[in-house]
Amino acid sequence: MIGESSLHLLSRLKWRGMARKQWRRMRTPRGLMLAGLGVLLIVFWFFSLVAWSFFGNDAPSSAEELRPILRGGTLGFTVLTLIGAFHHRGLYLPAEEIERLFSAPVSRADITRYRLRAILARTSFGALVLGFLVMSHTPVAAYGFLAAACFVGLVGVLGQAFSVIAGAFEARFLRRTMFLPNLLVTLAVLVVGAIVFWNVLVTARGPGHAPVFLERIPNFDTIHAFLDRPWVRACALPFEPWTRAATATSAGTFVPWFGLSCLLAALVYEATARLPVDYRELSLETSASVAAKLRRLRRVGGGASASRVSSRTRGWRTPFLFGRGPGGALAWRKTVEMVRKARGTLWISTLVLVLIFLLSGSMGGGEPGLELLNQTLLIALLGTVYLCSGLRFDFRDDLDRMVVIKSWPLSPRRIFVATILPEVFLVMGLLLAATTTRILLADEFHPGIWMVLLSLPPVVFAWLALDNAVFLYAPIRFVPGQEGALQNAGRMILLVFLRMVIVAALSIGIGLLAGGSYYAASVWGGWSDSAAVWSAAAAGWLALVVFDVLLVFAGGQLVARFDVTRDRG
Amino acid sequence: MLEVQGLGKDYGETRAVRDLAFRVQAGEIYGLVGPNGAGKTTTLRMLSGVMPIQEGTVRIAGHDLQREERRAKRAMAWVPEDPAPFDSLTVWEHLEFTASLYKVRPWSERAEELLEHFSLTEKREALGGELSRGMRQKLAFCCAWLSRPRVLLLDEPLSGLDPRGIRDAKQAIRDLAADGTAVLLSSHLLDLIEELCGRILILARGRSVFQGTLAEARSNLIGSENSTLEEIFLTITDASERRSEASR
Repeated sequence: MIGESSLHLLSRLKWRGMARKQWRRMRTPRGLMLAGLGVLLIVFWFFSLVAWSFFGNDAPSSAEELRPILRGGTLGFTVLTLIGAFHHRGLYLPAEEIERLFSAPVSRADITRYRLRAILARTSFGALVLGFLVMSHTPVAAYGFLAAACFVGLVGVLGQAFSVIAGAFEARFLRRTMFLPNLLVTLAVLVVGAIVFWNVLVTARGPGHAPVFLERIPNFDTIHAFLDRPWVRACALPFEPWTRAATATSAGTFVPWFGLSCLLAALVYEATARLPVDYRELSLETSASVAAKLRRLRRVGGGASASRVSSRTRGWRTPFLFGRGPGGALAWRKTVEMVRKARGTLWISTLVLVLIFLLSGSMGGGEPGLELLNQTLLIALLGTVYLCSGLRFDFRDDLDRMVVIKSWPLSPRRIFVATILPEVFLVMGLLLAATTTRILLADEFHPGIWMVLLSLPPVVFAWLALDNAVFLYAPIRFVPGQEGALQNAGRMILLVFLRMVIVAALSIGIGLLAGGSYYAASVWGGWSDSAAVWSAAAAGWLALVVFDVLLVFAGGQLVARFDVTRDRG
Repeated sequence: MLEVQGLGKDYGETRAVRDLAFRVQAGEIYGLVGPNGAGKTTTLRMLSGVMPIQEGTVRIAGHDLQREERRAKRAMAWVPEDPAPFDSLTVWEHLEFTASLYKVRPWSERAEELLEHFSLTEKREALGGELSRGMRQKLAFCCAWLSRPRVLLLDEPLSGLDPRGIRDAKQAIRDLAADGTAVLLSSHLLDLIEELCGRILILARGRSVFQGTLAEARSNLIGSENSTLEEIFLTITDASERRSEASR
């Protein structure tokens, strides 16, 4: 066997250990049921992908048609992987391995091979998925699958090689951390900013609101022509064997190209293992930073709250926006976290909201003002979904502090409200900014827009309160490398189902109330149609507010009964 | 057994370790002490091969750590300050892996003895992730002791141990040294250093400010034969601090 035998033993022991832990977790009926649900979720997702891949597409494309697309795909996939590789400079090894292996009598080439094997094992699922996606389009399905799977393995190895080389280069010549990723992100922000600026200027000048750039999105033919340009072909030349193997129509063409692909992949693997770079110091830095990030994730969950406080915002003073009382202090703590930790997330959220804003410009209407109503509604809906799911400054990052929070001198209900209130205001502020900008840029108005604007606060509050109540009922956080991920996936299905049931019941309740109110006003009261619509909206709004109040009571109960001694493993 | 010459390390503008030279003989327990940030862990990480050597040479059992890295490492064992076991491996599998890594054959009898000595026999099938801080430390000792190293590097070895564990660990260190192993022990517990170590090296701001026996330190630096290591340590590090402030 190639490589150090003890590292092969370690791989075997780790696989066995993982299987043993999973087995131990499945020994209780609850663990078995949750694992079953988790497996079901994964199998369902995988088979839906396969089914979509095979039955949702037209007949396989011809090799000539497909080749430019595959060239572009391989190039794009590689570039994205290499950009991602910057985040793990050197060779990443987990905390339990790094000091043990670096101080052990094994060569660095063997340590690299061991790590590459782990990367290949990790990418095997991705290879399977991409293989299935590609095979439905290629002239011979099996050739497409094999070539795509081989390519995914190669890219994983290339990413590792790039981390080691780029890390060594940066350490030697730049001495600036994250130089290139920061540059790329800045460029991306500038490009999006320029598009937004241009679009707003155009819509502000013209009578309509259709964003011009959306009408100029290139279609399939122009993309195809672009990917077939000589310079794109030249850039993708190193991946030509994989492209040729995937598009082969006979075994006579496939075998040599696939053989060459495998040979090249093996050479890249071995060359990476033998790179003359001493990556120990970089690896120690990377492993320490990943370990710190994992610790933060375990403590506060994912999302913006897991970010580190930036040095620039460290000294910023945040005002008490919600009063000086105990509830105000609790809300202030959350506001400080947002200001100091979420700058990047807020930028991204604003960008996504701007994109939704631009997308809303393509919505048409019929009568005057209806177009604007549709646009405002789209911003409110998509914005609420995205922002409420993306900005997580709530109980998720307080799980390990609950033991202290519960001892604070305020009622559980007030703890619940004060914790989520800053996020509610933040989401509402962003949504109101986007919707009012859209309204100000328009020439006409629709009274229904008032309904949209007035319903924003109770909807956003309901969304976040329900989300937090469900989380407090069954706190689940996904952390990479977490134990019992299968059971957590199963639990997640149950919780999503629970949330769906509550939302469905609420929607039916509001619908019945609004419908009843409309009927009563128009049939029994003899009101005009618009007055009846307003009465229906008011009834729905009131129902929503009552639901919010009920959620506050439920949230308070859940905070009170939260068991701080329970293992959240 | 362990020879260090001109060892140095920079972190950007910061000089973490400078021109360090010392020698630990076979069977000797050598103490490495210093205030926080003095460069103790950086020194141990370089000696263990975890971190590359920037300046100087290190010879372990006659092998140059840079030129004969694998031979040098085979003769050495390293117990870091906070040993992290593999979450999914049992205690016994940790020993099986370590035996394979250091080519220890036969290993199971020795492993049984060590588990017995460090009171881990009952935890043989426990997973690494289930062990307490003290148990993790004991497991790290078992792994380090398994290959009968000729040089042993210990960074804060008694962290997290209960009184019985501390007593067992001290005895095990003494026994290993009695068998001819050179032990380099870094700790903030000055009582432990005073109890176990024949000679000490005091580091301050990456520089060696004293090397020798406790008796030499008492007579040369303090002038009192009854002074404790704590008094010696504080006198030396305070003087070093004053000198460094004056030079600034």
